[in-house]
Amino acid sequence: MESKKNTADLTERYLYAVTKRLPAAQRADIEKELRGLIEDMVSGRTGENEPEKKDVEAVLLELGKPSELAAKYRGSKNYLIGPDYFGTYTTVLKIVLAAVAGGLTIALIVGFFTEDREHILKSSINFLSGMIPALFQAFGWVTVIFAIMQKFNAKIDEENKEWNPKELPEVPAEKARIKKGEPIAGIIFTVLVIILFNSAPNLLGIYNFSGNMTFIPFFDLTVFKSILPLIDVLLGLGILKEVFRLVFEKYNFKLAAAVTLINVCSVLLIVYIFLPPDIWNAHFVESIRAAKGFIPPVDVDLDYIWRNIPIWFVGISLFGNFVDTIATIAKSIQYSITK
Amino acid sequence: MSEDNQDFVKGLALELRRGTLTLSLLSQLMTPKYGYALVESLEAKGIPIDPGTLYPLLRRLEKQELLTSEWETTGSKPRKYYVLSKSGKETYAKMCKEWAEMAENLNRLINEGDK
Repeated sequence: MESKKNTADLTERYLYAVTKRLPAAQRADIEKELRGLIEDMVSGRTGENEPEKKDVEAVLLELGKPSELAAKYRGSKNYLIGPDYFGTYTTVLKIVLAAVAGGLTIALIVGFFTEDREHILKSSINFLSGMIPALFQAFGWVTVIFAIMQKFNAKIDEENKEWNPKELPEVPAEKARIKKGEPIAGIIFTVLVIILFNSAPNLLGIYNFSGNMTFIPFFDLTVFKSILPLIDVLLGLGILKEVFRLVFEKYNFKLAAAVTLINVCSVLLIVYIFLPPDIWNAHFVESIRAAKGFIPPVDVDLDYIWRNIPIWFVGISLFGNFVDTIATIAKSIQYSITK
Repeated sequence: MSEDNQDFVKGLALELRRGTLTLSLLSQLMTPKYGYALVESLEAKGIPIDPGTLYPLLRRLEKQELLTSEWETTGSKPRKYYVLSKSGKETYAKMCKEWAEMAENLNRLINEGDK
């Protein structure tokens, strides 16, 4: 009796391992059919005798690994990141990981010069313990971005099953090609900014080296920290844009659409984050006036300037995004007409 | 080296067999049969097929509407019986013709060598 229960249990576990990898709609039917098959195969081995555990095991071994059997039922290969993207994926991954490691190292070296001696040991330990999660985060985000692109692209491929040589894309005109250097530099720069914003937002500000070194931050650090996740999303969008440039390799309408969408999202985020005065250091001008050795300039209304900084900052960012969008669209149109 | 070669030959033979699998299967389904009965009858006729390959293949052919299936629950165990559909029979006839041509051409190639 014990052995019968054991053998049935083994079968159930195998069936579960196979069917959990299948679309829900097919599970029950395939399970029923496979159960019959296993019973038939077992009794094919044992005849009229009561099957033993080893008989069931032999049958299951013959049927093969559950994941492989399920793959045969699905009939399609499941990729997280398929061969189309894998090359670009590894390139971007290397750049991002190198930039993260490099950026954190630079941050440590800067720390050596700007911090008190007794803090150095502490900051070195922080550096090492921060490096590993930072690298994992970078790895994770890059992988997620590419996995999403893979999923999206895989669907497109299925829709256009017919293939026609006429539809082969033109070899892009020399100018339409995007040189890899630019997006790579963009990714490295953005990663460095992410590291700076996340590990040392207090370093964003004005230094006064006369006498005791004093430091006046641009941002209200409490508000800044609370909104930091959104800033990271904003910077992440910037990386995504550069990744698209690397993947498409040339200007075309798909790239233009992607860049436009990303820029629109970025603009909304910039307005939301930087336009309200809360994030800016309310005591900035005060602190400057109070700084040792500061000579107030004549004819300049510092309060007025500082009050308007959010609008100017957002305005310049909007202008930059606008120019980038228009330039990408224009190049896409130009190179798709002239070829 | 010769052992490697042995594996290589096995691999090539497997590839050949894989190509003819669907045709072998269709040939057995003029009358309804269930999966394991097919495994046994094909093996007895010298065409062994792994059940882990056969069962998914049956489903795929059903999805492609070459086969229809029905659960038979009157016996001791419920069993799913597959049989050629109308389009399955047509496809089978065409495939037989293809096979005959291919076998003929290939045999000619082999017998005449590169003369």
